Amino acid sequence: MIITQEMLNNLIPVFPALGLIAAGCILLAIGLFQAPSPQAANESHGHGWAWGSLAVLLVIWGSWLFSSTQVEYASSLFRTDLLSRSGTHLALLAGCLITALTINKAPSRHACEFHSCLLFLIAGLALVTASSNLTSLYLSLELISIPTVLLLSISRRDNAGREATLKYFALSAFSSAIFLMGASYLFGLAGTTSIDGLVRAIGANSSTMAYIGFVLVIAGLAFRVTAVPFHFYASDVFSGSSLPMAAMLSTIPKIAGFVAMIKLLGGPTLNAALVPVALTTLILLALATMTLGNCLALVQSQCRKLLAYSSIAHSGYIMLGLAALLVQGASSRAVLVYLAAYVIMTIGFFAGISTLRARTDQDVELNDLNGLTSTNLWLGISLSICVLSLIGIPITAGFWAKFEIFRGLLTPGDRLLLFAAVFMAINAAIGAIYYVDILIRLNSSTTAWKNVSLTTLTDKPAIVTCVFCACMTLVWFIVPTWM
Amino acid sequence: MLNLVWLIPLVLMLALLAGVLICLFRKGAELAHVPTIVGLSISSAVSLILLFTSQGGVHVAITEGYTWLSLGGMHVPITARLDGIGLIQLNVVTCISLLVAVYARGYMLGDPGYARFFAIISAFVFAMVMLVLVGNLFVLYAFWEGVGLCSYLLIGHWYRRPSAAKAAMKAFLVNRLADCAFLVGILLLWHGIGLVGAENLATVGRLDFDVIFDAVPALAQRQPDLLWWVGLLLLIGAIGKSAQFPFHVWLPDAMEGPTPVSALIHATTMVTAGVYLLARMSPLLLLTPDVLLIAGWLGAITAVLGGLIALFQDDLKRVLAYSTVSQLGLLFLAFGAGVNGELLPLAVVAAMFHLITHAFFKALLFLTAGNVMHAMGDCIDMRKFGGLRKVLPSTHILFLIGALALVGAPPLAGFWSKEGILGLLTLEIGNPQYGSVFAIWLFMGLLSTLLTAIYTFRAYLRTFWGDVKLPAQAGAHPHEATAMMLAPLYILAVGSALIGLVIASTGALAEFVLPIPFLTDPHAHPHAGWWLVIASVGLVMAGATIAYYSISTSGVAAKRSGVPARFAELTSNRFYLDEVFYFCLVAPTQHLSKMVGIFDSQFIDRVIRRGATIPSAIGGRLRTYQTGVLPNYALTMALGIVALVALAFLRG
Repeated sequence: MIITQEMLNNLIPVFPALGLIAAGCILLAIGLFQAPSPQAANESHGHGWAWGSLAVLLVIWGSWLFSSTQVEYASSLFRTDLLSRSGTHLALLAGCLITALTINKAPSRHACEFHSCLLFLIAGLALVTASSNLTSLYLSLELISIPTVLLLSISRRDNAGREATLKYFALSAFSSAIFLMGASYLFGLAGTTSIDGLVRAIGANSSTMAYIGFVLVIAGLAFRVTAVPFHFYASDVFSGSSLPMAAMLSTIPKIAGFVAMIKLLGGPTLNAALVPVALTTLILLALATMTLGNCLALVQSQCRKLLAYSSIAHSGYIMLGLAALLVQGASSRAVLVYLAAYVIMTIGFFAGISTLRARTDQDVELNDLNGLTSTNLWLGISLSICVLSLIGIPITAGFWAKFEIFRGLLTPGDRLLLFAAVFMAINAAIGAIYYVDILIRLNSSTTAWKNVSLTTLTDKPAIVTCVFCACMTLVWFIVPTWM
Repeated sequence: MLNLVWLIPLVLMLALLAGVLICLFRKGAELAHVPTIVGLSISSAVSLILLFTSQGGVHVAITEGYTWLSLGGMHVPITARLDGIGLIQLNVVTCISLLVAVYARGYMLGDPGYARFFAIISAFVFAMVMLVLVGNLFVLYAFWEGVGLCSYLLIGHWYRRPSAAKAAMKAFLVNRLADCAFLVGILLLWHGIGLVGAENLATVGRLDFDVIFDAVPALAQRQPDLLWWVGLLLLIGAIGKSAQFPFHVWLPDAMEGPTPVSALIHATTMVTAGVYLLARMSPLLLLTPDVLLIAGWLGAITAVLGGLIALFQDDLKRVLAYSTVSQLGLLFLAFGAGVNGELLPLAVVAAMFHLITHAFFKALLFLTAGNVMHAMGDCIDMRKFGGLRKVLPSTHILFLIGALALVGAPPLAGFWSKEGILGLLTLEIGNPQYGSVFAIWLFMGLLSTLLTAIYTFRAYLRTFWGDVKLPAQAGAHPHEATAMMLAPLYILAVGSALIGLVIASTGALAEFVLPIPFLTDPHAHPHAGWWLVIASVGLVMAGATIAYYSISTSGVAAKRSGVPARFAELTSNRFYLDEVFYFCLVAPTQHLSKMVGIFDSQFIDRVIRRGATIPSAIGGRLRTYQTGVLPNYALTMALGIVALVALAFLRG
């Protein structure tokens, strides 16, 4: 068989994913030959593999940056365009940060498997951003959720961990089924699985069936972005998994879900007849999501649960960005900017609090944050910056994120969107209550760290990740064009 | 080459960053001056290079630093505008600040806030440099506020001292008052430029100086009233920063800060901002002569008022502070001469000239006063010391040079620049429209020269001559400042002595400053008539004599009886202007805020507190649905889907 230039060109959209999968397979194979020594459970072995996969991610990121990204390539399943380019950057960024965060935290008996699963799911995310076909989209989404289940199960092996794994597995399968059901309706109507062809065919033939198909597909994706009422798993799974996994769960599936939603809804080709119903659906979901997320986050006393609910609230904001995009048919920049800011500030925060306890699956109470700045200045300040960014205060990237969403909502002059913007402002204020509470705790003079046995604070990679994320939020405020 | 200019703010920003890190981590505080001094050295070197490479072909160069924000129609680039005014101001700011920072290294040694001090100095100079550089009025305003903030932090450096905290607050609030007007003026100008056809320009781009200068002639034709208001409001902003009557009240109190800060504020980084603004906006002011008339009157009043108040102050630094007020009055007086449009270019040149010389000798005077203060154990009351020429010989000579430059003794710097301003007023004294005004201004200018001579020599004689008298705080053996502190003073002294002669003899300043739109160099430089030179030198000598007699005849304090006593009391109480401010502005505001406070706590707070409980109540209620039971979750999801599909049917 002769390899033609064209065939190579067809691989360009997916080469980061291919590289990651290859690296993941190699890691997995190495893992087979590593004798599982039972006494090694408490030693930290996995460092080498973590550094290796971080290096792979960085190399691939670098080559993606310098590859001929200006040219658009397309095959029947994948395509490079603006969305896939920025989406892949986002995937690799999140991948690097999560890998860096887990350098000291991978379960030592399964370090290879752990890191190969991480590589697989980042590859899945990269594939989602490049998909131009319902089939490839679905398969890529599954490439994220199956390693996720594995990761959940190997990273925490107690009852809570098992419960979280099982819940995630069952509900994720449920939502996949819903997505597939919707996709089958759409395929039945259009006779094609290509997303462009689909949108075009439905534009010519808008029926109730098409609405149902779209709503089901969106509902399937809504699970991944933890939109209400598909959010229930979030708090249980977050508190039942290790902290790095919670960081992963709050970012990777969310990016995947939103990028997929942009692909299905955000294209300028979307039929005008579909817009009102899609808009109503999105805004309703968004408002319910942010309100519920914020109100529930307010009554939590445990960092991980609080972050679970606050991440639900952030999903609500992003969905409003998506709604704005639907109305004006504008670029997907607002959503991507928010996602980028969200990724760094959330992973930064998780990285920071994951250093506070010796074992990553222990609960971190809000009280543990008291007076952290006076104990460990770098950590306290970085966490404070991340929290400021989560509120959306200027000098941080989170400000631009919220600013872009509000701008998107207010520019078209639509009454419904204006209402949504007001609602979002109220929600942002509610959100500020619990974030400011964290801020006060971090910088209060009474410290929880008199009892030093609680803290390890020796997890250098996680601290560095946290500081790096905090710096990035500041840099992105000054140079927003880099986002 | 021109892009080199970005190095200046960059190194200062890095110095600031380093300073902040030192403060945060409380490590290496004893080296805190290094980043500031290195940053200032680089930036003054760069600005000197720019100054000398741009000679001859002076032109306006605009370089874009980076685009901060580009969002749809909103495009916010940070641009630098390099022209004569900007370059001169840049050099004055960076060079004098460098000298002051070197001095401060010795002066502030051992201060607990040493690291904080140098970090804020970096920020202060950074804000001022950016203020001078930027090519957009709105961005200028941002750094204008930055300068205000840094001055607040520096004046309140010893924040545990109530008087320092109060002075900082006063400086900040008085500046805010004027800045408010300035901001309204900027927005009004923005609106006005939109009216004359630039409405398609991006939000902030409409306030680029070039756009403004292009638009003002049309604006003057179509909306003269609006332009008048813009000019007036910009003037209010300028007199706030430059401490002109009636906003001068903050400046004398500002000497509560460490002495190097006073030197910075008085000589370069703060009060000159207002003058710079007027020079920068001179193409606009050209079209609003009435505003320039107001500026001239305010300047004349301030020049005389500052001089009068300085006469009877017992605090050495306060004398110098009021002298700054008075000298800046002269600068505004020079702008007033621009009321006759043809003179405006010369007025700008004369103002810039005096600004440069004043920066040198005022920095010198303040820093020598700092030496005195250091030696006297932080006592600065002239009633408590005297005869210091034997104790502090170097400081004595340096102060004398500064004082001679200030009073305008030939051939020191102040002589040339002051003659420039007064000579300007003589040019049009026969003008039918403004002749009488010019005559009055000239008289007031000469009066202020006399007053300057009196108070300066009085302060000099009281401090350095007479019998040696030391305050208790000074200890047994007060000592001269270290070489490290004296070195910058010698440089300043040389500058104070020579810079006027250098600039006046080359005559290059006008050529350099004047490529301002609509302002052409008339090539007719004002030659102060001989009678004016003789008159002002005579006034200086008269002032010196009066000062000598007022001290020798009545000891330290002037005899206070009859009308002179009333007058002395009035001036030493600063004409009760602070009290007028208090009763007109502060007291009503306090009453209003008390009432608003009651409304706030009784009504708004109650509503908000009640409202704030709602979200957590909702959260508490919703919590019960988080059962942890998997089938419940799946059921809710299914119900959600059914609801969404039903919605699709309803809408479809």
